Amino acid sequence: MFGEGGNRRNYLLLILGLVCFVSAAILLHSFKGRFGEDTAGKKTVDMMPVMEDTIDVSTSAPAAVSSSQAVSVVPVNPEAEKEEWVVYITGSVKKPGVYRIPTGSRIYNALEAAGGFTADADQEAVNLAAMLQDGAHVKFPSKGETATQQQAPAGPVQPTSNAGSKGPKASEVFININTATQEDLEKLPGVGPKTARSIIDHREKNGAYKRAEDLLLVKGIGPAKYDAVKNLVTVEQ
Amino acid sequence: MSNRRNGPLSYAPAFVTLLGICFSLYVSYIGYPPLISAVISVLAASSWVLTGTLCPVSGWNTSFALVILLTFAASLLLNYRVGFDPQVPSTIRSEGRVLQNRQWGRRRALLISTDHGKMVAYSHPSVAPAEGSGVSLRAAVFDFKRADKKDGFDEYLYWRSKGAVKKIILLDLTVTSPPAGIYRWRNFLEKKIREDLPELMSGYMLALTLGIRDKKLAERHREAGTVHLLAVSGFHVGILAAFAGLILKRRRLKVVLISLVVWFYIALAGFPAGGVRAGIMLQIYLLGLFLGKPSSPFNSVSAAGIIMLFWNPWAFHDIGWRLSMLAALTICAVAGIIKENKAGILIGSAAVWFVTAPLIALAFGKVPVAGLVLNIAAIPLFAIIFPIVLFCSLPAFFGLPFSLEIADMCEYLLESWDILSEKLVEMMQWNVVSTFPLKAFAVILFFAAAAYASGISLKRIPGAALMFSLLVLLFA
Repeated sequence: MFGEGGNRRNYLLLILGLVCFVSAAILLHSFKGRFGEDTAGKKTVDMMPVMEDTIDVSTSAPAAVSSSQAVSVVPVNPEAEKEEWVVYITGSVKKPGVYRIPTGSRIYNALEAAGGFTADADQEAVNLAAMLQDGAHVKFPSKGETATQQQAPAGPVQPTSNAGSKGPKASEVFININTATQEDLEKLPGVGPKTARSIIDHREKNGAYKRAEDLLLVKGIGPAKYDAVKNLVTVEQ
Repeated sequence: MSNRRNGPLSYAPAFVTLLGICFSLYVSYIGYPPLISAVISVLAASSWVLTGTLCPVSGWNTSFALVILLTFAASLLLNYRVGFDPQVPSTIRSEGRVLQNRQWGRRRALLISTDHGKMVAYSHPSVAPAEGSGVSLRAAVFDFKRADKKDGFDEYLYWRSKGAVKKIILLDLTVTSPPAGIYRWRNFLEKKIREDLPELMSGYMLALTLGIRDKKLAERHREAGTVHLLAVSGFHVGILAAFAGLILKRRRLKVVLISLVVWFYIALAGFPAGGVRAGIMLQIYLLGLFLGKPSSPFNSVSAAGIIMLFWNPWAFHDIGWRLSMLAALTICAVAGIIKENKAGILIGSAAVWFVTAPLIALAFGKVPVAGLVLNIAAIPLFAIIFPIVLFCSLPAFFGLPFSLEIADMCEYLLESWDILSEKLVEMMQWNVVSTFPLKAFAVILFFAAAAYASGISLKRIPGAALMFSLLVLLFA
């Protein structure tokens, strides 16, 4: 099949080509099974880069938040040791969003990750030397806006899924959509027996809710209903 | 290509790199780390070159080193880009523009550019903004769904290949500005076509000019195995370039005019994969002509494929890109046989049918056998019909006298084709489904054609085709 040519160089090239081919096949075969499993059919959560989407949902029932100036720090899945932290940066920064930063970072590291201050930022409002923690939400206020920054230890409570919106008062009770009964859910504004049932059905079929936004996947919950309940629910598992 | 001793580096170096990149993107997709994927790509590309070269020309060593280095670097870079996970907040507020508004079952799928990248939203048709509209939105962000079963529809791959990073559920959406630029032209033309032309003409014109497929027309073509005629591709770009080339005689001006006309057309059609591939290929070919060193069509298609992957590595998972590349590479590969043989057109059409059949069967469940015969007549026939449809539409657009009669005549022509193809489909109501023998035949045929076009010695073509087919079939 490969017998054309005749001089030594021809055969050398041919042999080298075959060696490359066999090496590629061996490499493919030796990794198959360890890495080479097909991705189709696996759950999204297993296969896809998991969205850093859970940090802005309150984890526990409300406790007293002493300061109205709180910028919440909301770890959803507290793990003792992580190689990197995930923080949510909003307010007067160039690139607000969710960032992964090295463990032990301080607020100025997060600010750098978010591209630095915008022109209208109140640069002294937040203590840039303060320590961060995994799952923190840091908002940098603009000039004139009340400077708010507070580090909360484990389990702070103010939901911040919509920065700037009014959260529930400390006296209000959050409803945990992962454990709530139908009666509990019906206490939410705009949620009747049918929608409450749908929330429970969705939970039973797809597993626990990871964030308030997951309610939008429930049949019967549209943007208006979601906006009405998002600050009244929690997803603690 | 009478002297087949110098091998792939002399005839199709771009295909070597494309082959390596495709291998690496595939193995990376099934879970291999980027570095291992890049090493596999280099080994595969090297094997193709080394086993295919009988007599290296002067400077071969340097060319080989450069091509392999480029393949390694490209594979590594593209795999890292594919592996990069964009960080997006769970709820976003952004200004943006609706880049695409297309049918999605009963809803509309909107591809929207935002500050966080392109996002996809499914919307009720009554509230979906027109393509090109400026919008202000607040939305919750979600991951795409993966396929429920192997070879099932994978929302993640489908939209990533279109450039989208996440799916959103719109909480607020306000239209801030009407469609602008090319989108305005598209909307205007779509309205004109739908209002001024009879049914069949309207369907063909929408597909031909804007890349919009009429559901009924697409279904009829799907049953006949000629649905590719409705997708803007090298066929359409080639017809347009040929007409544009007739207008001017001065070579330099001709090159500029063809380029402008073709890219305006591709933009108007919404940058479909086949159209962009053909546009880049044409540009490479024209550049070669301009420099006095025309590249071979097979090499130009390969280079176009590489450029498209650099633009968006996820395009590798786009069925449009895959079909377009496979069809174009096969056509170009067998072009030599077509030139030399009167029955070449039959060979070309059949080769493209067989090479693309497994992919089509995988995506649509079946491939009509009628397409094997119909395409032999359809391709040359539509090369005439499409310009006729285009010219017959113009009087209706401008409200000229006899426009109705002209449009009716054209409609009659299209109806005739419709009846003819229906009869042929009735006579050959067989369909082929995705099976291992079909896949094996398609892969072997493709690699044999590619080896032929790459200048591999005729005696070594069977060996190269079998080797690489084995690699694909065993591990894909």
